[in-house]
Amino acid sequence: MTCSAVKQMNNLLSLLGDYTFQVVAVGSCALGIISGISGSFATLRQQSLLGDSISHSALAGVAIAFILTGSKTTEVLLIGAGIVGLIATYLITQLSRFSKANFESVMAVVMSSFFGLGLMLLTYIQHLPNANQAGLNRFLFGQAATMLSTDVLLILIVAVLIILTVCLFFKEFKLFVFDRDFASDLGLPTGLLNFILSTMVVLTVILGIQSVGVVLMSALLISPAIAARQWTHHLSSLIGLAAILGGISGLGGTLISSSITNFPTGPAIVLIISLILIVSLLIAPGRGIIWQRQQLHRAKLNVAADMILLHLLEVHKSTFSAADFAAIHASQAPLYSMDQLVKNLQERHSIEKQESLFIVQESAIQELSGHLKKEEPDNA
Amino acid sequence: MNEKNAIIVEDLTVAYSLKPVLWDIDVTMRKGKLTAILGPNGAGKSTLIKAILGLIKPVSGSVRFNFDHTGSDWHKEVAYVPQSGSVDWDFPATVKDVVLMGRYSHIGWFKRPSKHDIDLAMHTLDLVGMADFSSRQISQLSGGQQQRVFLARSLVQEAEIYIMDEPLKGVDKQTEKIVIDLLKSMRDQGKSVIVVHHDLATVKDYFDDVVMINVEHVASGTVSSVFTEKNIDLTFQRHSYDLLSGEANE
Ligand SMILES: Nc1ncnc2c1ncn2[C@@H]1O[C@H](COP(=O)(O)OP(=O)(O)OP(=O)(O)O)[C@@H](O)[C@H]1O
Ligand SMILES: [Mg+2]
Repeated sequence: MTCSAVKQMNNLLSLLGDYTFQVVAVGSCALGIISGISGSFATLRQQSLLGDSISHSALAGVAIAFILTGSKTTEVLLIGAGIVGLIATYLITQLSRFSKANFESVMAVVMSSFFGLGLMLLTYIQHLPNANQAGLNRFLFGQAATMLSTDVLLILIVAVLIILTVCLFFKEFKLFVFDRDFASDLGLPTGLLNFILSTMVVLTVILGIQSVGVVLMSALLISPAIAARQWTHHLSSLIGLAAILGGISGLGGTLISSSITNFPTGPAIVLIISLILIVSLLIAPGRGIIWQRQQLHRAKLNVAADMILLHLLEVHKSTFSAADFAAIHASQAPLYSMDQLVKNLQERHSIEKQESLFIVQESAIQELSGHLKKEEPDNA
Repeated sequence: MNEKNAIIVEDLTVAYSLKPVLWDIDVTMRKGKLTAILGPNGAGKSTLIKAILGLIKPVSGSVRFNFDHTGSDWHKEVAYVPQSGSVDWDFPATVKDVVLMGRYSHIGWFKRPSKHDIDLAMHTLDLVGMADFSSRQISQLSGGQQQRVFLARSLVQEAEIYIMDEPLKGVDKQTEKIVIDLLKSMRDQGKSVIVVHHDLATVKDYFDDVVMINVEHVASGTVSSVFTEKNIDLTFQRHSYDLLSGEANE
């Protein structure tokens, strides 16, 4: 190991032993967990972008809260963020309901207007003759290290509340998210359920903008759920896995940004969750892109091998030699080598090698016999 | 109050925007009968159903249910089968999960499905010919299978009144027969079954009563008395009828 690597290891170890860092790490991890949970419901309700518009709009709230109160206390700024985030959400729903424009366009317009306002106000604040103004920029890309233990406590309380709520009303949330009209027919309070789920998203986003930043907060909200969906088909495990992936990203991102000076936390978190997401999209069994390709490849090979076997059965009955195989290989399955095909048939226990001959197994004959003596359909 | 009617709709008007999509509908649906709701696309059939179920707030009018037992909770006694296209079938759930949703009003808050609920769900899946699919992902179902899952979900609700939005849409002949036989046997057990239906050729075979609407109520009653050439023409061939001017325009 080189000298600098040793030094970095030591830095990391001393960081892990540092109380302030531990507090921040717990906060980021809990934040990732609630992001995974709230995000699972948001994505399933096709509201992925709602979190994005709330967080972008919230920047204006932070700036306004600072201008009005002059306070840099996180809680004060977050209340401002929450109020403006809610106003933006309200505007979006009302505008899309009463105008002909669709939800997404309205959302994009409202979000960028509020975000633009937020950036303007931030610039204005920086030009104020007041030494106190520094540090608001951290809300853009997040700085987890600025979390105080009171901030972390707040996140933990919200996390416990969210987890409890989801456990208690799991069944109802599930039905509501899947089929709102049916839930309403069964007499579930759909308005209340909607309010709770939306509040979860708003709370998560607002709590997250300090350490993740308004620009990238929605990635932490959405990506864990999308990644988890790749691996599981059950809502409960989807939420659980999304919580774990979110927690890991929060923790890992904080670790990265704390060990590199001035590296913002948001991008570090997004880096990790994006890696997890990409891997999940590629290789998850069932839904992964590479996995599906391989299945398709395998299916094609199976069919080609079976076609050859069918021909061999018709001509040679259940015993044939390698030469028999080679004789029809080129005309029947030119895309695959003979080795590939024989190996495939042996792996699926369709044929067995005995000395120099291949014996077709009874199970394979059974399976293929459907094709052998098929009734000819009428041809017009 | 007429004890023979399961549903009584009075003066129902519904509008999504300025122009009403249902105009002053008065109609009753009989208890223990299979009733078809007929009308062209956009006639307001789904809207009528949703208004009956309270999913849409009407501009005016009222809906009443009559149950066998007074004091019944209508949320338990009225089962709804939405159009299968109304939900996202990529939702992470199995067929059994979805069918069990029909039991939620019986299960109650904070509780999990009991053995009885699960047995009932499995038995019902068997009835609709989906027993082998109980642990299948709902994202891997065909359109006809989705319809049958929704049907099973409403059946486990053990309601008195069933309201279904095109349960036969996109199903093959065999499935159609399974479903219709099921609906008939429900009717024979005294349930009231109301179905939005599109295939005019099968109305006489399948249904007891019809409700024909096209924004306005055109006709309703028993199939033999109301399902006539003239009423079919009136329902389906009338060109856009301008409610505000009160004139039919060609
Ligand atoms: N959510 C909505 N907002 C605005 N207009 C709507 C909405 N839902 C339906 N409509 C309009 O109301 C009218 C009646 O729609 P409805 O869905 O009730 O028709 P339908 O008879 O069920 O048609 P289909 O046979 O195509 O299912 C249509 O003109 C439709 O465009
Ligand atoms: Mg309809």
